[in-house]
Amino acid sequence: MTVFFVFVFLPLFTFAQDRIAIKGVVRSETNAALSGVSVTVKGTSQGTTTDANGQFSLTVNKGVSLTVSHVGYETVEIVVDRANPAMEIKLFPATTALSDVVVIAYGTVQRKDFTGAVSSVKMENSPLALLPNMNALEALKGSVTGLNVGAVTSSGGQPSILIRGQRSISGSNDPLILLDGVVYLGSISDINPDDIASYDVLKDAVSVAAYGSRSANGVIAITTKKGKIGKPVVSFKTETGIQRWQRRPVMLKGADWINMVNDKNKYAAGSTNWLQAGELANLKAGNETVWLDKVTQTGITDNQQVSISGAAQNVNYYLSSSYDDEKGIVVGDKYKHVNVLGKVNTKVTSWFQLGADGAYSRRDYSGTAANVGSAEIMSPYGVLYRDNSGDLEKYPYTQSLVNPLWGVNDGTVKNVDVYNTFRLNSFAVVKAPWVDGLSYRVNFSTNFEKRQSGNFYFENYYIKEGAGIAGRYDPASVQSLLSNANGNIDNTSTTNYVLDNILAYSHRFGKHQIDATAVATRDNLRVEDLNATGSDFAANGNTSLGFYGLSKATVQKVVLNNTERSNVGYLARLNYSYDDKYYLTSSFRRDGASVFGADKRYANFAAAGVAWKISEESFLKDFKPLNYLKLKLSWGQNGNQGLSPYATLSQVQNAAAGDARYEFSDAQGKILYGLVQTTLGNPSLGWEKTTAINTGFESAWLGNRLFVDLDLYSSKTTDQIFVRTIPIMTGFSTQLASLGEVDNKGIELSIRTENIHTANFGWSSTVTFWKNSNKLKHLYGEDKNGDGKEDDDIANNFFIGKSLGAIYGFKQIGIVQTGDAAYIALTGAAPGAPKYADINNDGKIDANDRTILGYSKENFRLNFSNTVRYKNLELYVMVAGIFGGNGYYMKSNTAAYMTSGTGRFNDNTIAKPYWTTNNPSNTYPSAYFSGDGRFLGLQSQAFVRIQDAALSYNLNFPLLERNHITGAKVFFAAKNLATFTHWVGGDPETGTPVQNNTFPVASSYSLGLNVSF
Amino acid sequence: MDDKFLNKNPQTFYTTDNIFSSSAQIDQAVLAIYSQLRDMWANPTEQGWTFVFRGNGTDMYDVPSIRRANTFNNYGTINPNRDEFYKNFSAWYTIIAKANLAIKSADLPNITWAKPADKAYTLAQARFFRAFAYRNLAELFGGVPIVKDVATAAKFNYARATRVETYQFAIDELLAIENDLPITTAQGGRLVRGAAQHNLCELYLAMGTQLAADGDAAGASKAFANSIDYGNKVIDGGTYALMKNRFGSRKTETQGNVYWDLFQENNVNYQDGNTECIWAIEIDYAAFKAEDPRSKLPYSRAYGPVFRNGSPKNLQGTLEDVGGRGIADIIPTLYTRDGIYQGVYANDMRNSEIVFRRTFLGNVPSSPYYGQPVPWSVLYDNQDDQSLDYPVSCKIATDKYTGLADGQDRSNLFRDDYFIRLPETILLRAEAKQRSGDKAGAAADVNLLRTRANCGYLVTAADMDDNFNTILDERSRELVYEECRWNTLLRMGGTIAVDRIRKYAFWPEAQATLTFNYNLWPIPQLVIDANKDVKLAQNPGWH
Repeated sequence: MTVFFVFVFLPLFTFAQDRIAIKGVVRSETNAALSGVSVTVKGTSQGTTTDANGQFSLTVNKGVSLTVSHVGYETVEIVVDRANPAMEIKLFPATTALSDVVVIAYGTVQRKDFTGAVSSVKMENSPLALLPNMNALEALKGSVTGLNVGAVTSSGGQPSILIRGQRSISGSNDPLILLDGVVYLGSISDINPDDIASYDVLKDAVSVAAYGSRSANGVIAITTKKGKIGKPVVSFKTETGIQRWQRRPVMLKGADWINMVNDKNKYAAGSTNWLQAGELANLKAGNETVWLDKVTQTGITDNQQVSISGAAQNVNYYLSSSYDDEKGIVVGDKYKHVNVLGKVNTKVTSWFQLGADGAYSRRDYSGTAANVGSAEIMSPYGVLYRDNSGDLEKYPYTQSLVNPLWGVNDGTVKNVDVYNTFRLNSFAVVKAPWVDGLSYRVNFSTNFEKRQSGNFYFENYYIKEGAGIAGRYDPASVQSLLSNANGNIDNTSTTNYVLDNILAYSHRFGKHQIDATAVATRDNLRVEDLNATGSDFAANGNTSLGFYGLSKATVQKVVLNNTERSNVGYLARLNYSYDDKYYLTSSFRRDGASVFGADKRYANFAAAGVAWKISEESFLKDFKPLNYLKLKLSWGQNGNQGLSPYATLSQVQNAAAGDARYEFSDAQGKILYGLVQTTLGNPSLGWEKTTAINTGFESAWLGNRLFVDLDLYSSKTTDQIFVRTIPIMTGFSTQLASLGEVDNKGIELSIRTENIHTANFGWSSTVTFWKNSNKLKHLYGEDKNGDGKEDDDIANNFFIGKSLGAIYGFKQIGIVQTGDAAYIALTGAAPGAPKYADINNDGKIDANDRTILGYSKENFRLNFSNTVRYKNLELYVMVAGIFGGNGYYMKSNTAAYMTSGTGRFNDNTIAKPYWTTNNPSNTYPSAYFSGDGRFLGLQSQAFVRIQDAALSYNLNFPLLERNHITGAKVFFAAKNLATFTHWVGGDPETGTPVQNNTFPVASSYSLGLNVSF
Repeated sequence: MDDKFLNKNPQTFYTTDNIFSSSAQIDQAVLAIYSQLRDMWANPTEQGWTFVFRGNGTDMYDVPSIRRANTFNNYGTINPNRDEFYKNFSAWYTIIAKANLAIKSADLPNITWAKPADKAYTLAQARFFRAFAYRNLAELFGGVPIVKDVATAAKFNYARATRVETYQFAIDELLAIENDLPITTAQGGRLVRGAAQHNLCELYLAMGTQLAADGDAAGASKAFANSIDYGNKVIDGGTYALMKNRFGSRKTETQGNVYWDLFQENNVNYQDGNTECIWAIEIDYAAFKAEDPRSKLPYSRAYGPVFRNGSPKNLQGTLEDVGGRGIADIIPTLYTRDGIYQGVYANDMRNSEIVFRRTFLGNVPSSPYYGQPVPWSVLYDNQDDQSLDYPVSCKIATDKYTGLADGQDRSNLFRDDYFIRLPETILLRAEAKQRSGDKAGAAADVNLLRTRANCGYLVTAADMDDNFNTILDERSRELVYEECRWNTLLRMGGTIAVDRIRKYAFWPEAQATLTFNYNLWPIPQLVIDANKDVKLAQNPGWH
């Protein structure tokens, strides 16, 4: 199994004293000097790290062992028995990190000994760490098979995360996050990406079963950085970047816009009489506004990070502080983030270990962003400024559409949105002195988040619309609007804690290794929300106190909203291995959750897995091309709560918190509040349960030049909770309900190759591919129409035997043409309207002609990344794609086809070759077609994009060394460089159409510097 | 210990299991229905589906050129998948569910009522609303599933009752509570007995019409007789009378007339001395300012013309001189604005300048009509402009907007409005009489309104045509912006609705695309799909 070679040249011998001075250099397998390598005396705190030239020096006792370790490389040990001034140590890359430790539930295990499906990603010193990711999970995008990370569109935003396909329809699909081994119930945004050493993504049932109820959506374990033995290391990183809107739509301008408006309203060609006075003046003067230019800017990101870390024999510490400042692409979109983390871990005695870490995070999203949607529809001749001093006109064409910049920087609105989060993690481990291998660990983790948010709309926000109202902006007019001024402050406190009690026993006898674990855990999450509103400041006379003057408002209101959820879990797990070849994992867990009714509260989850390191067997040991092969098979159950607290109850809204108000004539101004049942409860809801089988292998070939990992899984999820459309005759249009069974099947393949491997030049590639498909097996188990097959549920788009995400409707077969007399007579459709197929050939187009048109679900994902290294220069590029085909990954995109239908007669749009008698398009409806309740305009979201690129250079010259700088790297990184897709509108991954107020997915380019000393 | 840890009950809201503890809360459950109905009549949030409910797409209302996309008159695009049908259908069943909750909770053992009459009145209001909902559903959609109980679980096997059964259920409900409603109340806006009797008049008329269509002449004639009886109770019962003389807050002004007085602030409620008001929609400006933003009539905005777009060279702005800040969500068709006042019908108080304003003085200095009335030939210079320029009813605009000092912008009226005004009862009775064969009686009823309106022409039995054009025209004159026109047209059955739409729709699409006949709205496709265990039949004509 040892695939490393150590060349130690020891030309000098000194026996004169016990203490000897040693010097050495650490190089990679290609002879590149490795900086920052940890060189420690085994079993002590003594040690150092290599400098920029890979050199180190130490004075040690004779006979000690040196441990030389570096992330991504196999660790080597060297016994020092002679002093040598020119010790040369070579490190070899770790082979898919087989010897690495992976985080599993309530413990860690060596990857090679693990029976489940786990993908690990190293962040420390990886090109991924160079990318300008503001969120800890973005770095995983495309790197982990089976893990779908969504796009981030706003400053400081969080991506969506999905492991192995959609499990829960209405419940959360968010995976469970473990932070340093403990369930993390806080916000992922509060974890500084630069503090992260590695990720382990646990995917199959046996890996996650230990988390039973919480784990159906997979588990992402985040391990933060630790100090390394040696002198304290100070690292500094600075990174500055810009962001741009890559696929910004081009809206119509000038005559094209006027023609479009005339066509869509059937106005006479060339008419401009519908333009308002201000617009006409602009038309005459040739002034046009490209509103998207006005609401967007070059985004700027700025990230500074400093950390100090180190370790001694019995103590290990890591301190960091970071500051992010982001100015988004959309004017007014801002984000500031301060993060401080301190970690200490100490061995008090040989049998007692204590650790604690504390973190503080402040996220500030305050500010009002411009309205992208209204910028896309605004009249290009609209009046941007009302005067020559750059003061905005609120209503650019005097109709109700508000200037997209209104409220952004004009002082009419004040927005506050700040999160302050405190986290404390602590643990203690006691090794039972009387039983070897028995230990007890207690984890206590708590998180307190306080969010303050709110808006204050000053009186001048409510400037009247319309021409002809003289002096709309005059102080007297503005003052008369004081009764409209209003604001709110929302204080939300979220407190959570997790308490784990873990009893572990580890014992080896002969070739047998036993690891037994028993866990009792409980957690609690409580949200207290207090929203105070105040409106009408006429009596007060001004709003100069802004938010803080809410108590001066004539009308004041307080709304409280608290939620709380609790969970308990008990776990027993046994891991057994024989001869380091055969592995067995089994676990059983019982869970209780507060979100369910009292009799549906508890559930049991079992799992078992086996692995066989077949390459260790004698019959394969001599098979040269194969270096390593592990086969694995696992089975297990896990659960999902699929519900938010109280969702099973029939809820009632009343008083001022509700939405029903009325007055009677006998008491003017006295508001009476109605009482309304808002949901139809369903106390029968219980756990969503998934039973899954996973099989696959991990392998290394051709002298560790080719690594192939494959996982196949099949799972069955029962009692999935979803929002069901029900007959409105109940008084409710939807109810939470559960459906029978959904089967998921999937394949995950990862191939890594070391293509070229020389001293100065290296090239490695990784391909990841994964595909998940699901099938609705059972719905409600009913056959009411008596056809011998279980009934579909059309109202909810569920079809037995088909994938979830079915799009059911009328099949469009082009556009009605002038000559389609029979179709026109049949349907009344006008030429230029969409034309639908008479699927059942009954001479009518009606509900019976509907069919499944496609699926919103994607087909598969394929990512390809390359790392090319030349001397000190390294380039990393990832190309990522999400693919459709066979009707998959489709979405309705009516805005791509329709010109009308937005509600306003003059809304702008992108250029479309819409149907006219002279342009009998069979794709684009006429400009005046405004929707018929049936037209979907399905489009594929499939795309390929150059997702990530990072170019870095290790600085390596004497000046650095003289200044005690041990490592320095400059880098250029870019994200989302180019996207190739047929989707029309915004980003294909977010599936944003035009005329939508969703922020763009940024393309970012950044330049940074890492220095450590 | 775990169980205790896992018991987390909501702290900041109630559930149906723990909310009801006092009779006041039963009234709150009823109050929620008043609130919802106000939304459906006044449409303060300008919902497209509500404009349809209030008449968009009928012979009376259409959309302007700037809102052709919101048309409800292009039958190439109107089908059972349209949201407008589902939302209308849903609105009534939400009201039924609210009523059922109030009815069920009124009997909870822990509810104490001060006196039995309080309970009877609260229950009577809830049951009225339930009956009211079924009347509307049956008129618009035909026979529908009758739900009398609170749903505690979802159900998927509702079955349609017939239209007659649905009307009958509503009738039985109203008969049961008629006497539990007070004849009058001090709380303007609360339901009174007259509201139930008016609805009984309409329900019997509707049921008789359907029975006649079904071939049950005897049943029909009995129903029409009942309708006339209930009409008589309201019209001749002594509580209500047409207002024939100037009254109310502005009666001393030289401008105006009695019809105009009916639509002024502080004049709408029965409690204000308006004996035509049977049931009012309550609007309260103080409440609006405080925290009920839906307590408003956005009529100037939603129903008002857009001269500034339709004739920008002559008329600009959003002041009183152009009827306020109109955006014309829906517009009156040429039938509504001009057609019903042709020839002998021109001389009518309801067509007087103050009631139906047709004179607009040019306010653009460069206009040849600056300070002069802009001729309609100019305002109607093409169909697009004609759709934006139209006369302004005193029901949708005013010369005295409330709230200007508080920054209001002439979009909203802050007066009460009518759910039921006596003239509608009179027109229902007229129709019942005509359907009973008493054309003279019908003409006499119509003339009650025409006399009050000082009309130059009174109708005769000969005018009472078999397609009810005279009654429908009179409804348009008297009840413009008040009646629910779809209910009227569809209640009448036959091809009345489609014939009139083809004839009077503003835009040509209706005639071109209404290639089939229907006399009920379709059952929304989503309702059919969701009710998966029993197939609900689609109404004839829809595809």
